[in-house]
Amino acid sequence: MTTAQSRALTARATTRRMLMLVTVLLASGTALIGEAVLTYHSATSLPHCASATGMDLQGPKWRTELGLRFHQELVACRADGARTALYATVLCTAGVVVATVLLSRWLPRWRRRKDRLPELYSAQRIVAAVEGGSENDERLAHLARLVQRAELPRDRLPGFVCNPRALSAGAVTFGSVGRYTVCLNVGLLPIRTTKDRSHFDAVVLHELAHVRNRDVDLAYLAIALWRVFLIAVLLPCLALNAALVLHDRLQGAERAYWDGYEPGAKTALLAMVLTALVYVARADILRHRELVADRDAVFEFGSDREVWRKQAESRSAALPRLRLPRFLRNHPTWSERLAEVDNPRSEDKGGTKLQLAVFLVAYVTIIYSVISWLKLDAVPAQTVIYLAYLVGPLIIATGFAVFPRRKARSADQASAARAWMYGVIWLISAFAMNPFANWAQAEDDWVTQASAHLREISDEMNEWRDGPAVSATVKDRAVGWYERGGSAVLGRFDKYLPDGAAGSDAAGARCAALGATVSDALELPVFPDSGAGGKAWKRLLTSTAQAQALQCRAGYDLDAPNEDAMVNLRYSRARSALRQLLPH
Amino acid sequence: MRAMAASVRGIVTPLIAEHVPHERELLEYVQPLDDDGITRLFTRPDSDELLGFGVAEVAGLITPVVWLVVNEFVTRGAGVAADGFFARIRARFSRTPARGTGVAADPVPLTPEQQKAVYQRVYGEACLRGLEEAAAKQLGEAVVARLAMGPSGQ
Repeated sequence: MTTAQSRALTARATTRRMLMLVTVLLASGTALIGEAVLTYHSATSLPHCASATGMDLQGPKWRTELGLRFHQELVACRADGARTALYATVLCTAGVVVATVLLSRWLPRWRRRKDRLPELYSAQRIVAAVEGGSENDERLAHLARLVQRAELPRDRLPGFVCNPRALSAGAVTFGSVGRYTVCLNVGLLPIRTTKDRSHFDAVVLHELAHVRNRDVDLAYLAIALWRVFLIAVLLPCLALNAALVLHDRLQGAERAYWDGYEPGAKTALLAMVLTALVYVARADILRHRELVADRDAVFEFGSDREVWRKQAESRSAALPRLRLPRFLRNHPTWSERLAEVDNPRSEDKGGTKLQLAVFLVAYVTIIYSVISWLKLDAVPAQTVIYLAYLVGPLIIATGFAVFPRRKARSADQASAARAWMYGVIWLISAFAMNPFANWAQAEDDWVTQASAHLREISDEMNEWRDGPAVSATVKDRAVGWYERGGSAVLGRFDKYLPDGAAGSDAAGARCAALGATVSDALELPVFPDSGAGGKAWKRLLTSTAQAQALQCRAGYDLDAPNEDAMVNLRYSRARSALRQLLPH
Repeated sequence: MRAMAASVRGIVTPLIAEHVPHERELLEYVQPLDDDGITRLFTRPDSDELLGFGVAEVAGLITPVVWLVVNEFVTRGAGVAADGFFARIRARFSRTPARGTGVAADPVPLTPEQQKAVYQRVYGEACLRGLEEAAAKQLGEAVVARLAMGPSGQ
């Protein structure tokens, strides 16, 4: 395999991991920040919305849930709040990105200052030595020769410092864009003049490979990102979740939240899974870059591979230590590294199963977040479609890139362009059917309504058991309720609820009138009877709201028999409940 | 405590400069650390770092051997038994965390048996770490001779 082929494979593997890391971060960051901001906003703004619209959130749970979904003013107020919260989410995400970049530039400086690392040679001296002026300093001349072997561009030549607190014969590289430092452990320095000189060369060339491959920028970005994620995303999200749960428990009251943004175990679990995902993606790319640096040091800079063999066979490598599983380690083991320099991969078999799993979870998280935002009306469906056009090719190309393949491809086969092409074709054909716009609605229609349907059947069975009719005595007891607006609202239901099939006649006018009637009915006190009367009132509101929502949504097909049947079934339930409640 | 701590460096530096000159720069670069810090450096294993070469082991460094032997002699308490003295040295070479008494006291001069054991230890480890046999012998003898003079070198 030629050097160019090797580099092509390496670049492809790195691109795959970078795509995965970006996807995972996009998913985790937006999901967790969104979860925290929207939950907080939900807890604080919902009471204001309710009092502004005259809706009482302290009533029965079914009415609160119905109000949050179908009360027109409350839904509009919630959508306004959700939009504000979404802007805050975007701002927080941007803040996380800015904080990450700043931290990645600050961390190397802080490290050098904190460890008080004595300087061996500045980058300027290395430049001068490479250009022929080593001032009779044998060690400087040696390092300059190694820098030349690594063929580093002039603007990327590093300075060298020494770490007096590390005895192992190793080194480490740090820095930020254009200002790199190779830190040699104090235990490495004496080896340069002994028979283990090849070890010294291998260590320095490995570090110079990191500098040449820009791994320093990548690694410090990854470190900064991880720390910012922990401190600015995960911690606030968990703290807020815990505080709200504790507060609600201590208060003993059930607080209403936006649908899907209730704090609790679900949020904590989501946070844990996403954190593990970010860690795994980060460790995967860091481990890979170590193997690439080893390969470059041996095959491109001419390091002695015996150095790797000696380390793999050394006493410390054989010591039984408590080791993390491979997928959690930032650094490969010596045996993995030896295998890489002994048998460098010459074929591309796509990603690993772990990478595919990580990607799938990230993908599901993104879709879950988008559907949640759509359900809150926080973002117009059209905007989501535009965003999907932008982000979709990235997601789909990543999917193709990380999919494990049985049949290996040679290094010459250009697969990245093909993956992007598939991504774009997939995307165009998918969005021709407009799935995002319908997903949220479909999920809302079928999943929610299936469970609602089951509840209704259960309610009806109870009704048969309890006796179907609302007795005249109950109606007499509820005379106050009828007088304080109940009769008027029931009259409006009587006027606008269709008697037979819903049909298409004046559907638009009925949508508006029934929507307003449901909203007004939700502001009324609950029907003052826990028996048949209360149940009939609940059924009237629920069935009307559901039928109205189904019939009035965009894309409702009046002529489709299945949709028409669903709407009519609900209207007939509402009509039967209304008959029971109408005054004598 | 300070005077006692300074004496480890004072004993080891000339020994290394004379017998293992290529390791002089190691002591030169650990100058910023105090003697306890250097002892910790020689006993505590390193860990993997991001973008590091990894924890690499080379059979080379002799300074830690000399340092730890001298350090044990200088910091051991008057009542420490000879077997405890060597047990702790052994523990340190095997990189197992081991703590000294924590109390500096006037060291007791080494008995002939202890001198022989120190010589064997330094000579054996130096050979194992790649020093030529003659040089290793000279180093072992020099260490024993220096310890026999006591911390102050009188």
